[in-house]
Amino acid sequence: MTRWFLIAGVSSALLVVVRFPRILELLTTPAPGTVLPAIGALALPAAAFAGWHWSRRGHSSTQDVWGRLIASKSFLTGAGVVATLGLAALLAPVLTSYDPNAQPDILGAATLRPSWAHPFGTDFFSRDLLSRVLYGARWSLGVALVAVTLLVVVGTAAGILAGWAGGIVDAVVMRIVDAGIAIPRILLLLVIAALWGNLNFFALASLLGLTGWFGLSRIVRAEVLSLKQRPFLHAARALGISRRRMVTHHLLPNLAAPITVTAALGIGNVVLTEASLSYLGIGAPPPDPGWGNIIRESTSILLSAPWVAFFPGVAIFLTVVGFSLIGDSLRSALDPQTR
Amino acid sequence: MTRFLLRRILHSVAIVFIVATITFLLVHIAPGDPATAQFRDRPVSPEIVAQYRRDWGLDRPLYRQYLSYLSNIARGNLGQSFSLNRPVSEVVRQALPNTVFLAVAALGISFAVGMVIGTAQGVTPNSRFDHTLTAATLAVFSMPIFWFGLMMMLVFGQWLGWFPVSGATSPVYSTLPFLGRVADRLHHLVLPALTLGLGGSAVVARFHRAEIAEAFAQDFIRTARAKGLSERDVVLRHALRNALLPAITMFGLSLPVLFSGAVLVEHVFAWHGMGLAAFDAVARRDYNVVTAIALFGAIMVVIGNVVADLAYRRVDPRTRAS
Repeated sequence: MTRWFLIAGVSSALLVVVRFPRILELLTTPAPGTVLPAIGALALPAAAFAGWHWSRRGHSSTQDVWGRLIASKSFLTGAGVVATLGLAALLAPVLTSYDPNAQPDILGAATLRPSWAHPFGTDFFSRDLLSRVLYGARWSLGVALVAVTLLVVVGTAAGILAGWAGGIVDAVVMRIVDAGIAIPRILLLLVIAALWGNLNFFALASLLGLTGWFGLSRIVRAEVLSLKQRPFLHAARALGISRRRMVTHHLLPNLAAPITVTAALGIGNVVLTEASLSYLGIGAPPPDPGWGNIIRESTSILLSAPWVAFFPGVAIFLTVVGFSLIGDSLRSALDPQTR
Repeated sequence: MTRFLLRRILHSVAIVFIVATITFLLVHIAPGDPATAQFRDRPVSPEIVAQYRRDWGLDRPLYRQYLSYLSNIARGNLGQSFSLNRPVSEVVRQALPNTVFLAVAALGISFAVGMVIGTAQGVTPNSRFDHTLTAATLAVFSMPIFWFGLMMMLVFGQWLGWFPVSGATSPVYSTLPFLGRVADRLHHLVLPALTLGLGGSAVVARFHRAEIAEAFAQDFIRTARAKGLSERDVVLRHALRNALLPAITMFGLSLPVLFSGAVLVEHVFAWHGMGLAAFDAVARRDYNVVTAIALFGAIMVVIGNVVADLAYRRVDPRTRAS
């Protein structure tokens, strides 16, 4: 089954490259800031899945989980939505011939209604909205994926540290987590952005990642505490297994399920937070598009050209729905008891 | 009870202390200091900058600044707004009533709507009705709240013209009679409160549905049915009552989200509250105000959580024995 998926994936990728030789050229020409996130958008989930799959090779439960996922309608819907958005971000130069930042005719072609020439219409500066939304996906999805990767690493590490070490370490880490959860996140991010000035792609992604791990670390800690009481860990300790091996071979595989679910649901959350920040003015540097920025720029013409605010919002909405569906179906596939 | 309360308060003070430390550190590891931020766009002589540093005590060693910052907070002194040239506490006091008004209305809507939907779903799990509502709450939950606000504004404010789209009062507010003022305030409240409240109700409904469904699977429900109680009594007096307990915890947890949402909704509807004050302060680089509001928000959240904990202990007899 998995082999067929691999073959289908690779051959369709080859087909796309052969059919549109421009892609390879386009992917390498513009600024790396916009291309890297697009590549990451597709590569990260694939790598994550491959890593997870590889770590569980030979386990029959992997087949079970995969089978349950494939059979779940909500997983297929979510994966379809997310894959479409990811591909749209990657193939933006192929799907549209307009430059997202070009202002061809600021007097004559501003705020055009959606039409065949401009399926999503044009904005106040006569820029084609479809290409802005497509290129905006690179920024918005890219930031979210980098942020979630960071969030998962930090949250898992903090959770394991607190749960495993216990005592004073646990108390200190968990009080920091309490404080982090208590500060309203938007305000915290506003403070930081006000102090640091303009943030580039990686700064914003790190910021979102480093302020988003508190919830995950609580989940991981609780899981570690309950795993600590389980006989197989007592047995492992009695056998004299090194601490490192305990974590990598006994703890982490058992934490994979809750972490995967939190990560999938976390992406939607980060997309929403990033859009909110962009809406408040902290996002992609203008004139580059990000979904939140486009909505921010649209508010002054909301009443005369509502489509400019409408389409990027739908894109955010679809992304969050897609990842929520994936997260929810992963949860029930990984833990059959909840069904 | 007293011991529990004492421990809980100590715990809260520790959290506020960490929050204060974090905000202090953020301000001081950032490039530049308040003086350079203040004069960033204006060419001024170094003497003026130095004078400014002396005036605000920015030339003292870091630990001294930290200690005086903490002692100021402990005494309720939030500092001075650089750009408005008046105490931050005054800025907060002016913005607070509007935010509380909006937040209370939104909380009411989100819990009322969310619990009705959640109960209706939990009573008939996995029915078509349940699935439809699950899809609906997922949809509301997945919308960026500011975009939801903009769309509400467009549909109900512009196209239908039912509600005003900006501000907390109309320009003629001060000329209105008392009842007219109340009506005017409520009229302006509808769209922001609905935006913030419906966003929250999706979360409440998803949470509450699970609680009701879980309560329904318990033995005491079977007992209640076996006793011959009407289905209405089974739902309202047995299932709902048990599912109300976690809702108290939910209340405590929803406060930070509510606060973040309020910042955005206030911005969309030009609602002059804490969120808009914080946002304006960021635009003017007046971060004494921003840090104070962030700290204030955290304190409100912590207090909300303590209140939720106490309420939980009051309502749930099982926690009293320990």
